[in-house]
Amino acid sequence: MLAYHFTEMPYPFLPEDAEERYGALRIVLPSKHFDPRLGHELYNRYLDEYEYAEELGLEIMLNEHHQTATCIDSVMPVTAAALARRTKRARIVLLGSPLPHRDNPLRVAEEVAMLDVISGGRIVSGFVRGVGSEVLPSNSNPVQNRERFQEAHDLILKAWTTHEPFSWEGKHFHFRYANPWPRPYQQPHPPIWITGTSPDNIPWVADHQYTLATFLTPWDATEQIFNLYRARCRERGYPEPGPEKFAYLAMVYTGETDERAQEEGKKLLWYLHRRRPVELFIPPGYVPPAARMRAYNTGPGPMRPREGWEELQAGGLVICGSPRTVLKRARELHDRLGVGHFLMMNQAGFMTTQETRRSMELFAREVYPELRSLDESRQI
Amino acid sequence: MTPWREETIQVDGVKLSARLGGDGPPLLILHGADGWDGLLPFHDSLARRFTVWAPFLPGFGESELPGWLDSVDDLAYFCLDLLEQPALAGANLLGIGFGGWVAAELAVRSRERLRRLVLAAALGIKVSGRETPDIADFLVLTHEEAARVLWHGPEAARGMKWPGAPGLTDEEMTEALRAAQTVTLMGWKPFMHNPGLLRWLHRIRVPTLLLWGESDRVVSPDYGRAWHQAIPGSRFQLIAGAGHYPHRERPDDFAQAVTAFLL
Repeated sequence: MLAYHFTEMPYPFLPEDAEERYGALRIVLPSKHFDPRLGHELYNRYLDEYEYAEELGLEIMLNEHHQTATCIDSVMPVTAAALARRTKRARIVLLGSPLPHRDNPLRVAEEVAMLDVISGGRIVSGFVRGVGSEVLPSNSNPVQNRERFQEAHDLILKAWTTHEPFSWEGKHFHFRYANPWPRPYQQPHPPIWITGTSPDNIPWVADHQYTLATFLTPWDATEQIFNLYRARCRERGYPEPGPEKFAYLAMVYTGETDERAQEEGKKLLWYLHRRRPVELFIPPGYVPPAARMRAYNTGPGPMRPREGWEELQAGGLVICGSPRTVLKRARELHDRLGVGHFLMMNQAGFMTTQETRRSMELFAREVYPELRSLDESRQI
Repeated sequence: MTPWREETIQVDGVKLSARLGGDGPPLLILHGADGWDGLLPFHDSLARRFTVWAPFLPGFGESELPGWLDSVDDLAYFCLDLLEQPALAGANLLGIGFGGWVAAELAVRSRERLRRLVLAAALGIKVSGRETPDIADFLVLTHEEAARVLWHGPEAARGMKWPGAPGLTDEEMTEALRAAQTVTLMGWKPFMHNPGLLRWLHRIRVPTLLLWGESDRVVSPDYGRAWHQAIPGSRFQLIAGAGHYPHRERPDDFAQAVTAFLL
């Protein structure tokens, strides 16, 4: 099992009433509340933590969001480029490039290929639809989100595997001379990961033998999603998917003792407690009308309104405790859900760099050696 | 009250569900983004003087939406094909809101089947500069905001069937969200307009009435006047005590203005 350090790079230092006043910390929060000097410190702090993750033997995962204080990693390839140069060993998972929101998929192909070449083949290329709140920042049509994803994916793969100019006249993208340089370091292309929970989409992920990742989904639901992937493989006669095909993101805090971890780890909740008004966060057509209706019925509350700290841990979204407890939960993730890639949101909200590093150290020293030895014989 | 009959009309292989009723010259009504909930009092008023054709546009109400129909451009040609129904020769056309945009796109392409045109609270053109939206972003409104923005008076907004509004059945809610999805598909970017449409409005050479609620806060009366200026020989009329929904908020005044212009 491989473990990955992840932070959304939050900018939580806002006026106390900001969320109340503007309705949300995404999309509509004025950028005047971003202090570039504080931002300078924060970016470098988070980058230092990523470099420290490599020192500790962990891998690296990055994402991006736009127009939001919850994640100032708004241009993931920039972060990845900084890390590609400053790290030497760690795998860098881009999870991911929000394909429907990018107007030029060939530019995505170039970004990923350059990063892969510079890093000497350490890039994992994740492709994502982008959450609903990405739709207004990119102004990309939410009803066509899936078809744009599909076409962009097809075009990028074509670009990576066709080593001469070709023509593309699709529905959304047009190029008469598609011939991006460079080609990726890993041939034919870096491993591809896809995030997804929608039953409609899982067979497609399995058909391509891509790694399937879910973020902060309760384990029971996650198991069902992963089983759809496995069922598709059986049905189609693909090889039985091993742990290398499944990634799971949890919020993780490792403390000296269970008691201390329970107290200190609560700072992670900042991320889950943000307001998510349906009108801004789930635009028409991003999900089918029936699913959108359910979102209306849930209301504009936080992501997991009904779940307290204990329920979040019981559901598996939060893994928090002594090294022993974290090891036990991570092993369950491996043994029960078949997860080979343990994505750890080790930092959120106001969690300081000292707290984050302490938790990472404890994990690396007392939890990871045993986890790392799982599936060591497999190429994951 | 008018006896209405439900009909399914085949156009370009698409099953279109429509309500037909009344007596007199033909009047085709293209509903707005809110048109999914069917017949309203103004339909009855108009049916006293006209044979009213009130279809659900593709992707609204009971009408299906084929995968190839994904733009107002398509919808305009589709409605021109609908107008080729024999009974719609020399039809009057009334387009409301989003349906007003479709009606205008249709009319600049061909006025062959049209007698007269009424555009009410129409979306579809761009008149202000790049930093001034002409059309309020109604897609992001909560039902409380919609009550303030879309109506002249808040009391009229009571019972409005807006996503998230209290008292909606699951079925109504799903229909409202499906309608929002259809207008999003066709009008997301540029937002609810065609940047080139304004310069072709001179091609609408049938008598045209621009009908606007005096306190329309989605597309202002000045926006309506811009339509009026661009369509040669057109008339512009305000309806007092109405916002973006003059047909719902002042149904009698609305029907009377339409009737007076068309007859």
